[in-house]
Formats: sequence, C-alpha cells, structure tokens
Amino acid sequence: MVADRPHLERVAELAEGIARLHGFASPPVLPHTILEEEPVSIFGEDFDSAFDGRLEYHKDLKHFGLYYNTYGRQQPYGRSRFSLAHELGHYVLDAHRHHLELGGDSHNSRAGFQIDSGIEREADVFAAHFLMPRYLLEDRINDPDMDTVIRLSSDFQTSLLCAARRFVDTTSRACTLVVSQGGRVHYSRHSEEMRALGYVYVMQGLELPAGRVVRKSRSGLEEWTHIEEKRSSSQEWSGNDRGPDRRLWMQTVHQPSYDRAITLLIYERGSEDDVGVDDD
Amino acid sequence: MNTSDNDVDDWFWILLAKARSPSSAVPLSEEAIDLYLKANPLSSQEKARAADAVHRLRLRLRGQRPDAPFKEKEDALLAQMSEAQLVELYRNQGKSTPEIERKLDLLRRKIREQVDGKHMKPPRNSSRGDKSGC
Repeated sequence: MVADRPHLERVAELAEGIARLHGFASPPVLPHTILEEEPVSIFGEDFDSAFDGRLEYHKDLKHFGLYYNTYGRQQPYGRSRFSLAHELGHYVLDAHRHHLELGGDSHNSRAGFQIDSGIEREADVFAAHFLMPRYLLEDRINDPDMDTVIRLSSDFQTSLLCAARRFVDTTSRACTLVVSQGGRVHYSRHSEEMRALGYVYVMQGLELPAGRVVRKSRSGLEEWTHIEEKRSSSQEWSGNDRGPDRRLWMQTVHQPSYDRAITLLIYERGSEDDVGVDDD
Repeated sequence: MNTSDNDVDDWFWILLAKARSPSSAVPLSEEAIDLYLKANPLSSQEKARAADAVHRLRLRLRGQRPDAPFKEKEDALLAQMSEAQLVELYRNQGKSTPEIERKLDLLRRKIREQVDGKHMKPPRNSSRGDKSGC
C-alpha cells in the first residue's frame, strides 16, 4: 500500500485534532493520556534492538498490548516517545486497528521515518503531528536555525529529527532539512517557501559537506553535542555546477549513535551574496 | 557470465557486512543495500558477480527463502553468522529474537492476568511501564 500525500494529510489532521481534543495547550503532548480509557495496556521496556514499538491484539480479551522500546532508559526520551506515539497511530487509525482485530499479524515497528511502507509511514506522520501539532508549534517558531529546532526538541520532548521535520513543515521561511546516514545524504525535505522558490536540489548519496564546529548545543536530550556551521551554496548540494548558485547557511548536528547527521540549509532572502543571480 | 559459488558467497558477505551503517541502530535493509551500491558504484564486471548475492540478500530481507539450489548453502551461511548478524536479519524480517520473545510472553501473560483475572480493564497505570514516567 502506498500512502499518498492527500491521505497522509488526513492522517496529520487527525493526529493534530486528537491532540487538540485532549486539551494539550502547551508542550509536551503525552501519548499515554490518550489511551487511559481505551482497552490498551502499555509497556515501556528495554527490547534491545529488536524493535522500536509493537502493537498486538488479544482477540479473546478484546484487548491490545502496546510495547515500546525504552532502550534501557528510566524515562522516555525523544525516540521512545516517538515510538509510543507511532504505535498510538496504529491503534487510532481505523485501517491499522481493524487489520489486527480481524486477525492480521502484528509486526515489529521501526519508527522514525526509516521505513517507507504505507502503514509505517502513516504511523510516523501520525506520531510527528500528534507530538508536535501545528497549533502548538506556530508561536514557537522564530528564526529558522538549529537553535530553534533544539529548543523545540527540548520543549516537546521529541527527537531532534522529529523536531527538525516538523520545523521545516511549519516554518514560513525558506529552508531545507537534509538527513544524512553514514556521511552521505539520505533524504531531504524542503519548507513550503523553499519549494516555491525552487532554489535547492539536494542530491541523494552526496557526501555530507563538513562544517566548522562553532558552539555546543544547549540541550542534552539526545546524544549530540555540537553544531557545525558554515556558509554553503546550492551548487554544493546539487552535485553539479549548473544553474544559479544560491548562498545558503548550513548548520549540522551529528548524532553518532545513529550514524546520522541532521542539517538545516537556510536561505536568506535577498542575500547579496547570490553571485550572478537576480534575486526576486 | 558464470558466477561461481565462491563469488556469490563473497558478495553475500560483502553486502551483509557493508550494505549497512556501522551503527547497529540502522537496520540492514533493501534501502541500505541501494544506498551502499549507489555510494560505491560497481564496475560492470562486479555488478555481474554481485547480482546473485544482491538478489539472495533481498529475498532474505523480505523473509523469503532463496530458490533451490541455494537453500542448503544459504542455511550453511546462516549457521556461520554471528549472533549480531542473525539479530539483524530477524529484525529486518519483522521478527524478534528468542530472548525478546520470552520477554514479550511475560508481558502478554501480565495482560491476561490483569484483564482476564479481573474481567475489567486494569487499573490506571497498573500495567504501564514504570520506566515511562507518565
């Protein structure tokens, strides 16, 4: 099953609607509270690297078991909270829940936009929008920079990746999120404004350009410690030197435990540094 | 082009070892294989040598058995795999290791005791992992 965009938008609306309906007026949004009146038992345990989350249906009991991986931590943190919200998505989304109620197999979920199958992508979208609904984000997004993303990650108690994705989804500024794995670009995601401008094309598989470490990050929720920054250009990311070259500001946080790097490419509108380009 | 069994074995292991991130947090997957192959372009000769191994690894990741006559050889290879490699394959097939299954069974029994024993929903938070802190 392929999750098409209009369908994913409906999933996102549902997730945000549920967060609003349950009265979350400020972050963090707590997935547990949604299930308090539901026939679901929740277990946060260390499941090693077997899975991030798992939802099972006990037909004879008419009861669900929701398991999410805490990776040995005493308190849920970004990744495990996302896993819990991901499984919540499987429970809330009718087609997913009905599949289990009708005897479909449970599966080990790998949350965090790692798997591109239909239902996993839907559950990821649900989790991201539930944990970080637009109505709570809008007033908290100021400058498009990594500091804002880190602060969002801390306030909403989500992973940096989740915060970065939702930031790019929500901001009115032109920026691009680049997620690299093993030192190479895995995928990118543009803000609406950047898409409209069409200034940046990021080549998948490109070697992540190095930046210069300028300061330590301010929060300790995840295992990143430094922000790298440097001036960059659109050609550096497109893998060729054709077309106009737009000046970008690059900020990268490395997450060694995931062998991952999260980069924001920020375009400054009207920058006079755009060599040979008539801006606007 | 003929592909010897040794070539297939070699490439099976090369892909298994390399078509994944060094981090255990990143699962071996078809996507990881694609990324690896994109990042490390093979010559046409290498492609021909790798084709069978790629095909077999994809089948394995989808939880399917390779066609005979590879089955016996495949089983022998699996028998040689380290625990970490097996866990990786289990995980990518959506399965849990026996140890994790035992843990899940304990939790399933807990649910049954709570729900079946009391004929009602378990009390608030009684079955929730204390580690969740919520």
